Amino acid sequence: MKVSDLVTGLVLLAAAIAIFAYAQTFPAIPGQPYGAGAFPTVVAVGLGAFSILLAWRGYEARRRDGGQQKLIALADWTRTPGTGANFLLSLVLVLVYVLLSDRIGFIPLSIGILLVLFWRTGVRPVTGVAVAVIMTLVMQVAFADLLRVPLPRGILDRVLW
Amino acid sequence: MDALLAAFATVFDPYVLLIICLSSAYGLFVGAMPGLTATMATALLVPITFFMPPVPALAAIVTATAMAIFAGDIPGCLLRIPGTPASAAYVDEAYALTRKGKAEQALGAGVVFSAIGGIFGTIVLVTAAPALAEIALQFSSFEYFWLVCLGLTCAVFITTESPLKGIITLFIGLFVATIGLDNPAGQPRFTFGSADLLSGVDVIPAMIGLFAIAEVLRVVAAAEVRLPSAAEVKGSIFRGQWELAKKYRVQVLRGSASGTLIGALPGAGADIAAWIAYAMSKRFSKEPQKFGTGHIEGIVESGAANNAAVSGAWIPALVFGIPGDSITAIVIGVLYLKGLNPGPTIFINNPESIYAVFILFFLSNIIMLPFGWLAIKSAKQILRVPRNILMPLILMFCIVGAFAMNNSLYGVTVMLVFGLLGFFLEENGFPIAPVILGMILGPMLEQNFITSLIKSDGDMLAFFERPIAAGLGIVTLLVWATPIVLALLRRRRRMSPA
Amino acid sequence: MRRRSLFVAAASLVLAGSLPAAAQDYPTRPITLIVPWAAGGGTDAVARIIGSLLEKDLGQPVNVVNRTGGNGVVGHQAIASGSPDGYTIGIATVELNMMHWQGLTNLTYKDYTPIALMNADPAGLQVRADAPYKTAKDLLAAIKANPGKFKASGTGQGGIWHLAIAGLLKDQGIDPAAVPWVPSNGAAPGLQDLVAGGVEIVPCSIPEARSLIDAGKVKSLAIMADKPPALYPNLPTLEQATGSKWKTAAWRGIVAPKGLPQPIVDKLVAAMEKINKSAEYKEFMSSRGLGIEWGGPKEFTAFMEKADADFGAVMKAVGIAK
Repeated sequence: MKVSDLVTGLVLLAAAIAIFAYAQTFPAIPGQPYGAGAFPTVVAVGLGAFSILLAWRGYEARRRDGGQQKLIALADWTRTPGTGANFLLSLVLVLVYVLLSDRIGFIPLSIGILLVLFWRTGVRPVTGVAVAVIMTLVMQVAFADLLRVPLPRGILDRVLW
Repeated sequence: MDALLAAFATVFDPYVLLIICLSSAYGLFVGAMPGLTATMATALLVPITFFMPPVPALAAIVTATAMAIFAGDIPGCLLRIPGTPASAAYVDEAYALTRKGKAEQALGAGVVFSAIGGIFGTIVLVTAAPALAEIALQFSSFEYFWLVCLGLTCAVFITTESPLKGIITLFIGLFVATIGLDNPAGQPRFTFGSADLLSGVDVIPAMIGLFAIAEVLRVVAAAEVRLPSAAEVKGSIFRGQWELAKKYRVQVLRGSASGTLIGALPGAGADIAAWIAYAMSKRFSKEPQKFGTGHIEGIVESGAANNAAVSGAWIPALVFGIPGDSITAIVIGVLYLKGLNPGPTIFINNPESIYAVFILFFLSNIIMLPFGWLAIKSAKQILRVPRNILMPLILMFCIVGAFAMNNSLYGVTVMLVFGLLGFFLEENGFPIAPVILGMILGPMLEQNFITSLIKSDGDMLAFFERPIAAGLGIVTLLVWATPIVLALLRRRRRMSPA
Repeated sequence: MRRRSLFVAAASLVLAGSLPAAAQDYPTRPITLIVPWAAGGGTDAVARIIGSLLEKDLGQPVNVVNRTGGNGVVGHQAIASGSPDGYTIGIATVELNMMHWQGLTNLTYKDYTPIALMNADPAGLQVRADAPYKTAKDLLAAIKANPGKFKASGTGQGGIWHLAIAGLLKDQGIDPAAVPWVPSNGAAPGLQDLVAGGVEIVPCSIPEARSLIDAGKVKSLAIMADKPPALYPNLPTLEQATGSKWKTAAWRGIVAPKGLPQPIVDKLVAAMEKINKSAEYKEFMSSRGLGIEWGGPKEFTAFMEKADADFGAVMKAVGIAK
């Protein structure tokens, strides 16, 4: 997604104003004139000032090319059905992992996510299944057993070593 | 002299050498995995070292950390995924070299100059530790405040295209750093009642998102071809390194020296050393326009700097028991455990052990060359894997890495959000490295600013009252003022076409 | 009908057999030990030594898992919300008695099954080695004479060492605001600032200050406990030095989620007592200068109850409690 600097600048300016306003509600350190709000205020002022500069440059650039560049333009790939769907799918799969891994566990979810992506990107089924299973087990052994990262055990809790 | 011989005998014992080899492999693996840091490598070693004699215990830690900091360069260079924050400063440069088919040269420079930087830092540790530690201990929040300000300036220097966009992403990073409870006031900020946000946003999952997830999205989704194939990556990793060392001898020396110094400061470590070294390299380079396009010069200097910082961090740790970074914080505990109480007297009371530590430092930096060579050779095979198999696997490794940082799915969520942010920023020509810089330096900036004000009862002049602070402050203000003055001069010249 | 009752009978038999069996066989799979602080810190080190000794004792792997952030809120929450089956335990720290007063969480010590108190490190009163005061009494007199002049550091705002000095001042009838607190990320940066001349007092624990005391950069004036520390047997207690009965310590103890079955509690308490008395634990703790403390579930609860009330009072006086 290509967004004109004018739009980005204005959005960031709005964010800076919101941060500034919220920061004024933070309490001071007891016995001191400043506190939690001081640093976010400084950051908000800096971000706001430079966003105005960015928006101004975007505006200048548009004026120079006579407004030919769109304010917001979708990249070409979003209009190709396959690639656009893959983009969303990757995001959704990570989200699925966040929501379900505690219940289902690392091993089944990892195999599942890999298989879906392999299928979408045209990996041959036999290769895909083999790679998904082997690499998931490698990760389980390397991280959970050797490095002791508590990967969620999920439905395999009682089966796993 | 007897002590030195005794130290050699303890180090070159088959058991110790075996430990060194095993921890080298371990350090290389952990460092090369995004999400697993050198600090984590050390923490995991602690319960194991508990059952070892002092020298092998320290051997394991010294070797593993040195290898981990270098190994962070490998995924950064091949896949544009920095393995540790210390590699984030020059990851774009290294990846640009890979795309030119010069991955071998970039990685070779990484390993060779890491080793040189590490050895330089060790020489300083051996010869000047007590004196340097005295200086480092004089750094109060006033001095750190200016040092951090100088560090922030790097955002402008490392940005190739538009400095304005670099400053803006730096401010985004600074804002992200304010989220959470860990601020001088101890107040929750921008948490919206979430217990996860209370802990703030970790740099590691954010970094994985910004670099790796954004890249996965580009390749999987946008079908953008970025990776070079293995066939394009040719040559030996050590070829031409000698010429580089000769050509850039000033840079190597400067990077090693600044890295050691920054590492010795208790408030700054390898990651800040790498940023400052890279920015310095560009600032003083004869060909600054080549930076960011796959130019080796910056990698030489910052690669030396981050490994020098690892050695430098031991200076205040050994002399005063004050940790120079999060790794030495763990090391101090191990030192006590082994009866090697840190302090100025450690050099008198335990000369054999201290000499053994020094020998270990030299040794681990020397064996970095063969081990690094092996690691690079095998890691390079990654590029042979077809992209449609590689990218989903990277996604899965990133999920596990982001989870491992704090053993929580919150890390995976952070990774996802920053992946989208990174994708969007890159599409619109914003550099993403300054976001990481802002997140690392933001908390330090606030901490040192607020505590300085409390200490001086709100008097701003206190920032210039101490000699080192005044010096650093003036340098910082000069660096900031120069581009503004230059711009004004240029405008004036344009206005009066005489 | 008959078949159904048979099924019920069989099912109840299985259930009756399996429930106590679960507790008797405990543990049959790896145990997770949650640490609310970062890898490499003091709490992490204590947890890892307890973890490795527990692993030997129970014959099952003990995974030490760091859940950091939010001044310990995140990790303490993770322990409390684990399932009470003995496979999730954690190391609780002194902050448990502080964070709910600050309004950061609703968690209190009542949300856990206490297992054992394993360690306590009393606060010391440290100043620069070349400071002009010889005793804690001199220092207090100087604070009284120049309110606001002396700054102290060693933890974040409202952290344990902040409360240590604020409680002492309050106990002596001095306004806690007379010593402004300079927040720091732990004792090490605070001590460094003490040496660098940024602050005047660091009321952290003795092991934290040990290397700088031994290096002759820092001196300790008193310890806020009943007896002098093992490291420096000549150090006076606060009561000897000033007459103040104020005591503070950072402590660490093993807890489990609320509602842990009694047989599992007994098993864990027995294991902890064995660890606490073991030579390995003693060696580890004394080499790091950490104080060993023992308290079973009952003593541990009473200890937390008192500490909780004390901190509430101090935090209200400082203006941190909500």
